[in-house]
Amino acid sequence: MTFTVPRHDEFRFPGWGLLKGLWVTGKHFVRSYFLRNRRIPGKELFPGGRYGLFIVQYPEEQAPIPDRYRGLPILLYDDATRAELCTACMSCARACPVGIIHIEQGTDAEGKKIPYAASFTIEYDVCLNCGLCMDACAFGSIVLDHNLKTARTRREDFRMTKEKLLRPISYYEKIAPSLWAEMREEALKRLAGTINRRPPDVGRVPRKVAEG
Amino acid sequence: MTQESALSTPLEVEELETETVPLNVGPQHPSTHGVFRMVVKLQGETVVDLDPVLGYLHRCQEKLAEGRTYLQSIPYTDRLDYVCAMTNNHPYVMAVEKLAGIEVPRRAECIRVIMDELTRIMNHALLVGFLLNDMGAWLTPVQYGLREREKILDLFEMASGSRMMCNYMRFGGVARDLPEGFLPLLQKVVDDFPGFIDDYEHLLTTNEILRSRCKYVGILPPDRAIAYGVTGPVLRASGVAYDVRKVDRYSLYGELDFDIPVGTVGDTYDRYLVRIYEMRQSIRILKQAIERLKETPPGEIQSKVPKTLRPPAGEAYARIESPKGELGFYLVSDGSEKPYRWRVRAPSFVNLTPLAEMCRGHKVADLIIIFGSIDITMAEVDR
Amino acid sequence: MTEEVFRRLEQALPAGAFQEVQENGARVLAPEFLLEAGRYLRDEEGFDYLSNLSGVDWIERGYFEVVYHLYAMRRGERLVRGEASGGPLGPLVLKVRTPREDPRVPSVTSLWPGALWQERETYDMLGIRFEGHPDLRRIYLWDEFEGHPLRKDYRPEES
Repeated sequence: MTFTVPRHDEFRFPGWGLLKGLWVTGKHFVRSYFLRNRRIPGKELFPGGRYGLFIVQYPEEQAPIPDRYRGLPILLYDDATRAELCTACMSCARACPVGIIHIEQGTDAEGKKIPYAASFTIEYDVCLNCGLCMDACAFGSIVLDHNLKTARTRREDFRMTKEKLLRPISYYEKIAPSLWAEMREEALKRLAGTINRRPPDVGRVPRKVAEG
Repeated sequence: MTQESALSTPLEVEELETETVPLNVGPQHPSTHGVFRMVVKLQGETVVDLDPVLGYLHRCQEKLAEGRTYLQSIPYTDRLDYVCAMTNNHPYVMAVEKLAGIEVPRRAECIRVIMDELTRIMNHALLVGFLLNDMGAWLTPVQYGLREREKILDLFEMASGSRMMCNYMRFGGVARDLPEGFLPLLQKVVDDFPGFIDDYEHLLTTNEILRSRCKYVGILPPDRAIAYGVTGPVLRASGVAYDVRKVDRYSLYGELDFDIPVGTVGDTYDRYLVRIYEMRQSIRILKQAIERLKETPPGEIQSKVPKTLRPPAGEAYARIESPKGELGFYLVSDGSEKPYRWRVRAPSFVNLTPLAEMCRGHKVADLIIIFGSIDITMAEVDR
Repeated sequence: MTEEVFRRLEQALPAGAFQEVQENGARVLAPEFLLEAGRYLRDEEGFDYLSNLSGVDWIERGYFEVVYHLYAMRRGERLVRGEASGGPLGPLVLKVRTPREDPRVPSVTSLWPGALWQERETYDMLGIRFEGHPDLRRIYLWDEFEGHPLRKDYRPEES
């Protein structure tokens, strides 16, 4: 159940411990020239073993990013119909621990609510990357990007409006295939329902933006 | 007066007074593991007294949590001790589960134990490296520790999506099931790690410099350790075999087979050794937890929990053995969706209390080592 | 198991020391008996480890509550070593109430030095004065800071 750690109080030839340590560092030093134990993009995260060079020369090469990587939140739209998945249900805004998601629901001419976000802003500079917004979203609309280059020069640039946040589903399918596969069916089914409840040209990404 | 005559004047030693010199260490100092300030009173080079000054990293987390729902506080617990986010999630979700009476499926418990133990070996590997850093063995041991930690961080990233701010555990389970390809990599870490610890031990344990710097430095006798409420490896190095994993038997620990390493003297060397042996025991636990995980059906990782959690009015205190000691959460609920009181019993904070007593009578250089051997993260001390 | 400890404690203390027995087994003590109860629990019952000391502001009921979580560390150690623990391990929850207008609670640092900083923190955050504490200063906030942030009626200055 318990054991006492040995304190190595016995006599040793002076310098023996130092030599042993040098042997370890020497082993690592020599083997680092012959073993390139690298993390290769698209392959295994690490090949295993204790010796070799474990360094990835960022930005020339980049370690693989797993599907579940939690970057900054983005919004999705459907490639074919250009329809936004977001219905302005406010679940993500309520789930956000720091309250940086601001949504305004769209209305028609008579003031009746339509399921689409007239404006959708996220303050990127305060984001915790916690992913609670993604967990809260029932429509698969708000997801987390894999972009690592998030530096900006001015604070205002971190206020991301809807136009800057929207990405096509095909983009997300490419970066996180396993996560999209989990929510694909539900998201597309709900999207079909949402489109039916919207006027024909509302809540769609302009053709120009969608085509680049 | 010429130089010659000054030298020839006899000094009247009896009339000279010695004074203690106050010395300020920190808040920005490479050896303080964060922003920590100590006002040290020195007699020559010997520490006479020490007054720690805290609060440079205070982020009023307890107040912040009172304005958030129970779920929204989980990302904040990651930021308590940023080295071991997984073990910070664990007592918090345990406390809420106690409060709301939520059951946890077995697979989720297995995953939690695996994550806790990975955090423990990661923290200890890093700490031993940084302890040697403080001692003057600049960067080689810490590089080895960081390299092994990197592999574990990769695993965390695969499972939770973030390397350090994991935000992985949820009330009644964990956020997602383990991804495909996780277990083979975990097996690789488990297989490689004993070799790494052997390397580490060859490099350090019998090293003459480490032994002469660490032995009989910063002794904390067992009765004082208990009185001060010190927990974790620091307590066990003092010879008190108290481990919350064995005493409370929370999660799966009741059925796992592992031993508790205990020190005899309670000095810095014992604290180093206890951590080395704890890593070996953690590997043992990991092996058993993986076996048990494989027996459970995949997908059963979270029990039914209402979307907006409103625990009944009451209170709960949950604690686990985090790598640094006993981490506890004391929650008071008034029946609403936000906690009425959210209190963290931080091991780093309490373990730091006897610092002055441990340092008295030692040299300034030893002060840095004693401080390093307690293993603290300032983010957890200041909260 | 902890109920028996409390029963023995009640016998050891003068009548009326327990103000309330709570649902979860926690006991509310009159502040003047705190040190006596603590000494009895530490020396006679073996609760030698004060794990957590925290304060709660019950603003609607008009008092502060100081909560003590006690464990028996030596008995826990016996359990870890594979022997019979021979008694309850804890947690033993003690509470003390003090009016919000003039919050004063005797300090337990003489019994458990581990309370040294936790009491300072509670003083800093809630403004409860621990009488007999050797060094009751603010711990996180600076000395000139006004107010106690964890009180429910605390409003930060507009900046």
